Amino acid sequence: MNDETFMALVDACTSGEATPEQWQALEEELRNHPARRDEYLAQASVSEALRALHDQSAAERVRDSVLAGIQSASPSDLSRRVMGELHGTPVRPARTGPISGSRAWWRPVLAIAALVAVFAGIAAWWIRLPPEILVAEANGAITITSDGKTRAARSGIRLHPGDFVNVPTGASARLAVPNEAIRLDIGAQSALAVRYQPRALTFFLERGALDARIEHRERRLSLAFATPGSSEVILGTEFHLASAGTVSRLEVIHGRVSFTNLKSGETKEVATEEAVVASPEAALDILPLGPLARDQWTLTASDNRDKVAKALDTDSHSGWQTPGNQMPGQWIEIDLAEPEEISKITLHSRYGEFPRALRVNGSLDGERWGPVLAAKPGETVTEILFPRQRLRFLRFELDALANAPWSVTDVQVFH
Amino acid sequence: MSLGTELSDDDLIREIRAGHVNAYGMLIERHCSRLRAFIALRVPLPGVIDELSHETFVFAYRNLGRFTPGSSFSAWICAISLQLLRAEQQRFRRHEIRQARYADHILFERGIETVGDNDAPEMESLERCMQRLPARSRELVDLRYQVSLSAEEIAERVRQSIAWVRTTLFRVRQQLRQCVEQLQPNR
Repeated sequence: MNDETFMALVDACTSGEATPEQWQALEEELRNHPARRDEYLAQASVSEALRALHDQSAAERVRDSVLAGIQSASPSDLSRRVMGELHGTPVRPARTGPISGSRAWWRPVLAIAALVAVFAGIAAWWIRLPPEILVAEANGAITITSDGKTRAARSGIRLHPGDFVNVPTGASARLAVPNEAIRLDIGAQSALAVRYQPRALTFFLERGALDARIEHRERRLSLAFATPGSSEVILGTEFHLASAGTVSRLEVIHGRVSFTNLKSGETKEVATEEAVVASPEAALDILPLGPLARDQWTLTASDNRDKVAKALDTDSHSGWQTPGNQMPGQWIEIDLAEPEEISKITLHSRYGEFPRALRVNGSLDGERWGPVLAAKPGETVTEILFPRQRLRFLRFELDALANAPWSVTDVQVFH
Repeated sequence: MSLGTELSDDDLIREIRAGHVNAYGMLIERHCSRLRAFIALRVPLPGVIDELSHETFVFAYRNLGRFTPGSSFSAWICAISLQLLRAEQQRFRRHEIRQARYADHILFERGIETVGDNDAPEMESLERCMQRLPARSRELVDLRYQVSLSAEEIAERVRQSIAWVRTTLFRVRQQLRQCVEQLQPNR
């Protein structure tokens, strides 16, 4: 492989744009040419260092997870050991208690342990123990709080009833209940609690959004999802649940879900390709799942107006973008051509170019504007959820500076 | 929150010791990017960088009483992260690298080897080296690492081929690495 090819290959791999074949070619080259390994290390290290220097969202992620983590347990052995090395003070290993007592000390202990084991066995058979709930994937600084203590979540660890999973900005997590073939994908800025009563497992989504897929379930375990304003008993298989403030929205991709508005007590069954929105004032209406057609829409923006139509084309890569980093006051506006009853908007961005702080206003006549509720920014999709209302004009305006531009590659509006 | 920009590290540390945990948030935001870059220069694996930076800040918080006011907080946390990296080598080897690519294995093993005795090389040298870059190279670096454009998008903007963008970025990184090493002769 000549130098130019190697250079281009290393750049593709360190930028995350390489195909599996390119990775294979690089590995082959590194195995066969030891001299190039140092070059690769130098390239990767500078590349990651430059990325780290510019990645403000990583700093926020670390801040959130550290602040959550420092309220937890006492210093570990590792901490003590390292501090000893740093400051030159030897650290004695923790003392373990001596084993003493009468010769037969273990007999009553063993007897009690055996009894406990028998009772535990009977109890487990009688009241089914909670199913195994695992963190299958943890991208970013996910934390788990239980009994006031917080720990970092890594993939493979087990969750227990009472655990509270916190997914900060820019992160995502996947939970799995292997025995029940349940998979939950939790989005950024979400908080989820696991609750269990004998034979009833509940996931409580305090805020944020999750996607659930339930392939088949044992009939003996009842599964429910809840948000501050609603509760859903799951009869079916695949859905998206989001919660912001007092508004909850459920979208059923496949299957049937029984949905209850906790404030009014009203219950509706939501079937495949249907959605329902719960807010304290409104009645539950079953809505079509898909987004509104957008061929009559017009878009305007504060900057780069000639590119703004690209946010509506079918190519998910092309889009509108601010000319530089995010500045308060930069905006994009949509005219839906006629008033529509809507309750959700999604704005798609290129990775990392999501709006850090966004004000969303709506209007019926283009003159009198009112704020629309809660925007939940994510790395690529910002989901805006609000009580159902009749609107024609929507305006999205940045509210903060950020170390990245804002791009909109796709906009979708839902009933 | 704008108050944080006016407070020195020592001021913030005093606040933290007085029980204001949020002041630690400001300290983290101030130093995190540089710490991550410092770790990245040694072990350029995103998972390791994430984990070590988290552990370094948790660790620093718990041992804040041992930090000498007036000295550099940045140098102190860099030294901690190096110690943690050494102490955690075995664990990283077992868990992070087990199923990794051979290329990642090289980054990890050789990166660890380059962890020398220098206790606190300043990340400022990388920033200083960036300022020395010619405007054209600097633009490429910004488009890739700040604006996060793909090679294809950069090529479109600067009206060059993708191959040109890739090889030029490679050379720019080479220059930066050499420059950083010159500024830190003991590395």
